[in-house]
Amino acid sequence: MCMLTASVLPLAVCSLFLIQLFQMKISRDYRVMDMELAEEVNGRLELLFSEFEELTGKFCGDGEIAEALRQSDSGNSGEVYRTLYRETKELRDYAWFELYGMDGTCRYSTGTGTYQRRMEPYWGILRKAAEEEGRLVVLRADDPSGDAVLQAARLIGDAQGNAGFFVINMGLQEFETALKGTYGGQDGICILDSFLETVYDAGSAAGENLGEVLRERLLRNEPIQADCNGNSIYLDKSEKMGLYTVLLRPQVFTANTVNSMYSVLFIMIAVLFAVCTLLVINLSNRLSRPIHVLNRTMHEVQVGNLDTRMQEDWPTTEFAEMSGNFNFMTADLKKYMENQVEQQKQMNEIQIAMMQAQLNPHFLYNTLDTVKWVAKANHVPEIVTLVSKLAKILRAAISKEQFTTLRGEMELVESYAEIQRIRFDGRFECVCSYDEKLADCELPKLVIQPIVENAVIHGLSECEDGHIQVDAFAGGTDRDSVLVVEVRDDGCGIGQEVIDRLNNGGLQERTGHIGLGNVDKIIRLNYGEAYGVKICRPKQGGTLVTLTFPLRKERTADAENTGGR
Amino acid sequence: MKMKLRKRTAVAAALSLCLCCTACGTSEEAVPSVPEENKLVVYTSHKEEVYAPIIKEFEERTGIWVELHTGGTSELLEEIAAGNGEFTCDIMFGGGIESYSAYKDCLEPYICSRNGSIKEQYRSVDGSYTAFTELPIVFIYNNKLVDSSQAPTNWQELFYESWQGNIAFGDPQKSGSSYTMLVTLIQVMGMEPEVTLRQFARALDYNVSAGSGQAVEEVSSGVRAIGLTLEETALKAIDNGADISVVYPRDGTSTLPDGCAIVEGAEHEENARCFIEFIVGDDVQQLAVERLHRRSVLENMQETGDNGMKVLDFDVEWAGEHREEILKIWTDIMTEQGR
Repeated sequence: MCMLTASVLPLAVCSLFLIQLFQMKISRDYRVMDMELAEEVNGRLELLFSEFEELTGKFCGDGEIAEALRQSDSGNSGEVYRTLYRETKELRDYAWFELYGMDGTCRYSTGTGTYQRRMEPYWGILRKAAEEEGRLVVLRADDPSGDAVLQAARLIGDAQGNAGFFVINMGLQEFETALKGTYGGQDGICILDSFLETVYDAGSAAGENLGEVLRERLLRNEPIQADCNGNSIYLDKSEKMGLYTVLLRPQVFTANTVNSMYSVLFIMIAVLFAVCTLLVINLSNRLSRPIHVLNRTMHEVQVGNLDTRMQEDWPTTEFAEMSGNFNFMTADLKKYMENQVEQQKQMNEIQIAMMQAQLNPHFLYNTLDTVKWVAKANHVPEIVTLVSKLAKILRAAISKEQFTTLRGEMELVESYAEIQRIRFDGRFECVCSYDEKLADCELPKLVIQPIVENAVIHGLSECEDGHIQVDAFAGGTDRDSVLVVEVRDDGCGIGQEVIDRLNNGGLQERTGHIGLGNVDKIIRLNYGEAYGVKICRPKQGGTLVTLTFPLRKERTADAENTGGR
Repeated sequence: MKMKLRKRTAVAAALSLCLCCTACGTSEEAVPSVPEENKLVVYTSHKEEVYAPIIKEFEERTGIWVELHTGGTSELLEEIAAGNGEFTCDIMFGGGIESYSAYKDCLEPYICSRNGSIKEQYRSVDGSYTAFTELPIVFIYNNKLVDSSQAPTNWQELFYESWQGNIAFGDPQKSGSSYTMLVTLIQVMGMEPEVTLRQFARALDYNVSAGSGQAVEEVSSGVRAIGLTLEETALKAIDNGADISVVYPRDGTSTLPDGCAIVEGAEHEENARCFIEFIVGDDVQQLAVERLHRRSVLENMQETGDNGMKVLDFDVEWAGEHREEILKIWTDIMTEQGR
């Protein structure tokens, strides 16, 4: 968008400005030329009239002519005519010349044909000439029967008084001759009297009826020199004659010309627009899209999706390289993360192994066996039971197998309980129950026993008659997905502090409750955070410890029972 | 970029200003201007050869610019009546004075200073018009088709069977003078208007021409043998070579003048008065006689044409009042016959 305006706008402004300037300059130049032409036309007429003035001056002071006019007969007419023709030789192309008596009858005329002309002496130009004695007056002709369109008259008089009038007549033909060559074929010319009535018009002015148009404009107080049908109007006045010369010139810049110039401009702008748009699209492909895609992919990586890769087939090599590098980086990162997890897992496994293999098994078995036999030989059955159960437990603990079945684990618990009952002299009772169907479920070894131990040592330590209930059943939101083991005792209840500690995972620190913490840790390391140990104090008193495992059947089809006897 | 734009606009503005200045400078002096008080709006029903020299001379002598509108008498009077108040028409010039009395409500009463010099019968009583020239109604006949002894000499003869369908007569709906002729006929015959009109229409064979000028053409070209027209039109035609002759009815004819009046509410009242004074002045009256084949309304003006003409006493008031009625009867008669 920005680029579009940046390129189109200067062009538009520049061109508009240029067109305007060009138009103004050319119009101005032509206007100057046209005004000169108008002045030239006017000048031509004024020249003609100054010659008329000179001519009439000669006649009007001539006593002989005056005398001849006073006489009503045509006595001296030959002489008068000769003078008349002689003096007007140069000018007869531009007018015909007449001499009138004071009564208004035409006495002498250089016009063709015989005019029995009469002009009313109390009217029109003769009256005016009489009024403005000694001056050549000019008026538009109003006699429809004659051919003249313009008349100039001067009073002829001598010392004895007024004798008549010298009248100069100009018709259409005469005007044409006078103004020939001053204006061009496409122009129009119009001569108007001081009341803007048409005396003569030619060329385009005749068709337009220019005189009428201008007069109307004037009477309506509209600007006279406004353009007329694509033509410019130039008005010039001759003060001497009281006439207006109007030149009609076709405009240099007609509406058509200007329109076509603007059309060209618009087309160019449109083309430029299109080109710019193409350019912008291209640029977008090369620059902004790769960046955008990169941005998006980075965001993906940010939220953890390390499998995302960017496309590498960008048109620009720099972007292709960048994408390649980005993909490498992401792959590396993924590998690194996986390595970390792997290492961590290994670490845990080692820790667990270490936790569990601290003793040489053979030595312990053998010694216990010996104890058992000696006890039997000495007939002490309690020792036999103690040692047998202990051996069982130890076997399980020392075995390299990390996992056992539920049945096996329950047997261990019972063994343990047996031992403790002997020690504590029947002060408590431990009952284990589980669903036969779940007997083959897998769980880590020695996870329930520490819980029971905890219950015995801490829960029932103050009691005389305690009960421990161990139940195992299938649970969880999705019916057979979780194996739940509950260890319930009705003892004094576990401390809140312990519950909190366990829930926060820091139970290993306290030496007194290592078992709980360890079990929780083992479960979580093996199966994830969703499973583990939960302790609570039920309403009826005592303590309830819940262990959750994923419900899985035994891993190996191995006949070797870890539970054993 | 904004700065550049401003700069450019500034330069452009400066240039155009210069141009305006140069354009204005040269032609200011040459262009004329007309102040409002120097204008006059004239409605005229006269023909060009009549009004052109008069208007030109008036402009020349007084320096007042005349804005002219032409048209038929009734048409223009209607326009004046319709646009009363908002129009800028100042003068109504032309048309028989019976039309003026019909529209006197739209006209400004004015009695010119030369009223005393005007012939008594044409002097306006209430100022609703000022008489301009006298226009006698005459008979004309084609010299080739009609012998001078056979030509009609009185109004009665128009009803002769021999002339039926051969009379040229302008449409009274359009021509004021034709209406005057009808009224003259009614007055002379002395019968009920409707009866006279019926008889006359039959005598015309229900044919009318466009105007009194047309009537002259019809007679001079031989389409009709005789006709009714104004003296002025006939004399002009004869001057131009038409082969017709003029007869002044022996039992008298009306010489109703045409008039001129100031329109009520005229904007340029002063100039309008000036105009009326001008047209009843000696110069214009003399021109009308010498050049326009008319008769002056002034008492002491030299006359052309037949001075022994008998003039009927024409009841202008009656003519004005009954104009609508008479024209309606006429139209009905004509439409009955499908014209």
